[in-house]
Amino acid sequence: MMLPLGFWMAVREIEEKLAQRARFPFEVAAYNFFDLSLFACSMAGAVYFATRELEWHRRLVYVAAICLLGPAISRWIDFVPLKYPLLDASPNIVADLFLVALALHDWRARGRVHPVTIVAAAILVPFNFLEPLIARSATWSELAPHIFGFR
Amino acid sequence: MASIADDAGPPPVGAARKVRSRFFANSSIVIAALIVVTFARTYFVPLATGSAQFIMLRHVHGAVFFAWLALYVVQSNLVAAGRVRLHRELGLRSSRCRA
Repeated sequence: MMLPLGFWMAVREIEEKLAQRARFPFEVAAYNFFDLSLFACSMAGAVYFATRELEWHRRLVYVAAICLLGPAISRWIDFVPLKYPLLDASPNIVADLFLVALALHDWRARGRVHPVTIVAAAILVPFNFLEPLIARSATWSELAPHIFGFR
Repeated sequence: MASIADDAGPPPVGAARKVRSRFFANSSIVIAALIVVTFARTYFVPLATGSAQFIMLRHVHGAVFFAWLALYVVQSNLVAAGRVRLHRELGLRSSRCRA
């Protein structure tokens, strides 16, 4: 249910941006699309590992929760004196700080960082820096109308 | 096979075990609190005071995402409390609901 609702909300936001004649009407939908996709992948992995590798399961659920934090943090980030693309990237980058907490936990509990933590950081951190650039790219502007049913 | 309370690797000692056993439960509470406080400012308070109007889709979207968040907090804390059987039961039932 979360995925269709998330996508539906993205469609509504695109419609609003199109009505406002925004310069990048599909920009905000990129965050919905990629954050929800990463959330879905993490949760799918968590379900798969629930009966196989419990330490992978619990870290993947934690990573899924981090993927949902960006929209919440973005409601505060307007107060931060930053400009595009750092302003747009900052909510998810701040959320990624929870990966630092996880890495510290791994280090204290296991003596080394868990592979899920390493892979999640290797994917999320660089991607979250690139996300604003992708959201305003010509490729996304071309692709997004097809994904969200505007063509 | 690892038990739900154990990490792979060397056996824990003293404070390290405490930190490990409550980490996921505590962090779920922090994450949930962060989200709830944020949306109190932009959703719950405007909704309660009538200072903003929201479309039905936004209410449904919010309800489903907050339900997942509540489930995440409950599930993490069930495991931390050692109530693994209930955690699994709830996990199975919620995955049936999601489908």
